[in-house]
Amino acid sequence: MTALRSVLTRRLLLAIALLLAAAGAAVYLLARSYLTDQFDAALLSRAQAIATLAEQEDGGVELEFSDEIMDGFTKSEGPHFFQLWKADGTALERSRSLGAHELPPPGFWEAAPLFRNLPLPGAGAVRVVGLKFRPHLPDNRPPRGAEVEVVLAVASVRSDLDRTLRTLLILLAGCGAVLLAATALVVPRVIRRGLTPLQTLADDAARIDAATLSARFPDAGLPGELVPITARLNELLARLEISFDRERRFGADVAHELRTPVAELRSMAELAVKLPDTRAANADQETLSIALHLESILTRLLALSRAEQGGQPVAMERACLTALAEEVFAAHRSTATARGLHFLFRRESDGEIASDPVLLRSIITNLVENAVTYTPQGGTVEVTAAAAVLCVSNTSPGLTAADLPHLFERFWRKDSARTGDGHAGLGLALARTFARALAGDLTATLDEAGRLAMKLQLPAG
Amino acid sequence: MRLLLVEDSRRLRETAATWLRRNGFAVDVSADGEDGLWQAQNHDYDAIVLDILLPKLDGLALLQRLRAGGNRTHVLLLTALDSIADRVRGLELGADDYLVKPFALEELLARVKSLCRRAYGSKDSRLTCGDLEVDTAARKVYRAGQPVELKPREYALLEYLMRRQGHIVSRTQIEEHIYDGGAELLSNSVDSAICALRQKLGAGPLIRTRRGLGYELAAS
Repeated sequence: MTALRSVLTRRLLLAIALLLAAAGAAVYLLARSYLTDQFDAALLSRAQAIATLAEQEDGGVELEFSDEIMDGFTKSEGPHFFQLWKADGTALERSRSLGAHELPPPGFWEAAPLFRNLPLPGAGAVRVVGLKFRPHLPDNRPPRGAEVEVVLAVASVRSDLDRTLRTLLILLAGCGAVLLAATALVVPRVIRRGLTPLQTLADDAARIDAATLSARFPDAGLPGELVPITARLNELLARLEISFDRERRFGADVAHELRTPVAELRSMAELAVKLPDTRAANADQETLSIALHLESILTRLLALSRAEQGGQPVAMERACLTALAEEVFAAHRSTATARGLHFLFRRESDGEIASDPVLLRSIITNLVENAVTYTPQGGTVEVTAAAAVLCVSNTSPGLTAADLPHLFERFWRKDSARTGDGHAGLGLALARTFARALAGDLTATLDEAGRLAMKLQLPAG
Repeated sequence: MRLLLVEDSRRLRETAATWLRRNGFAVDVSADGEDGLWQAQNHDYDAIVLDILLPKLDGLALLQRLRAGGNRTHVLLLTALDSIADRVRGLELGADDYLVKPFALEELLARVKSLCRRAYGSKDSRLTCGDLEVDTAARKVYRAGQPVELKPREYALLEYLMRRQGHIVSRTQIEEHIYDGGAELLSNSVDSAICALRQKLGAGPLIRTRRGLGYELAAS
């Protein structure tokens, strides 16, 4: 894993080192070129001074040169040297300092003036300039015979220049190294300090687990770049918290719904074991009905969880909503009549739609069953069917508008107690989930007369 | 000992009532909160077994109203809710104990017995009066070390008298605590039960008749 801090530190240090090196090199090169130019200018002016001393003399050249005047040309270690040739290479004069050594001959100075570095035995590295010129005539007399062209080479020891350049180089390298070391010390601190909010964020995030989902990242005092991150994280946490809560509540609900039938089963069995004579004649029917109740809870829970995860298979075909509704209606007629309900069916229009008849039947059955179960004696249940709309309305005296949002919650019942009639409060949740799987919706409304209307709206066609 | 059992699941209500009756309790049953509250307010129960989720009036509300009315009867909450918050809420509202569904009948019995003992200010399951000893846990009676066989109702009567030792107990009080609402009471039911008990316990005037007042159990 690469830590942002070490990557930043490394890259910054590398960049700063490169910049320092480039700056140092530029300063050095500029200084060297400037110093060399100065040196060359001095060399050239020395050469020109010597050149002015040369005169044409009867087909030859006379150099009115005096070592005494031009200091520095006498000793063998220099620092100055010169040599004069005719253009054809015939040697004319040389400084005493040069001794037996030779400077580069006229052939070398084709495009004079020209500067060259070369080693001179006894004097070390020297810089030479070559000058090709016609010496002037003495006292401006007209020339006698052909004028002679000469080549003058003047050299100077460059040890001073080199020392200066070396000192400069050392100075620059030293300064660079010191700066780099200081940067290496400062940069990690600056970066650590700059990344503190990130570290805080990471620490905060590390503390969050399923039990502390209510925690939120503080966004006060955060740098602008981190604000969108914490905002998104907080949103995510809020959503997670809601879904965790729902799951937790759902788990508790499931446990609660299963506890009572299991308690019944257990106490009945225990009593039959401890006191066999108390065993009721209908004990087996009772056991069976508890088992069926448990089974229906499990089946509906599974269907619900599958549908909510989008795993409910939907097989679209031509389906007639009115015909299905009429079938379900007929199947519940005897129960409704036995409960003393007014049980009505109204067909508003006919027509087929593309839908899944199995899911449709399940939705209608749940709606009708719910209405038949919870309508008080003497109440009315009315099923109204059209091509793509189904409405089941029933008298619900106990229900208030505040209950409507809860109707489709899993395990919700108006009265918090079980009714013991096999209804676990899953039917409407299942019906709505199925309705949505069919691209429709299921809504509930309550009119002033206390009639609850469940409306299933499906896409037409 | 007379109990009230308020539970809306018919099967649970019936099995628990049968079990408790067989163990010598007089049990009244109720299927909803309103009826349960009425019964609890109008009878002198030794303990109430109360489900939390009830139609009409939930168990916690029932408990709250009962306590608000000054009723101190010991209450055992039956709950399908298993969260600590629910239990704490029940206990804070004045319940004395709770039992989570599903439960073992034995545990229900043990907890009900414990509440009844506490109703008479004793934690000891052994009651003594002279050479008479009643083990309320095992429901056994000994006279001078010798076991005495009693019918459940006779036992209930004896246990009640033992718990009220030194007090004069009226015939009505005995009826309230020994018989549940469903029992057919004759005017001399209590007298004949006392008579049968005296015979089984043998010599020595343990149970005395206070004319016009009732009965009293005391060591001779």
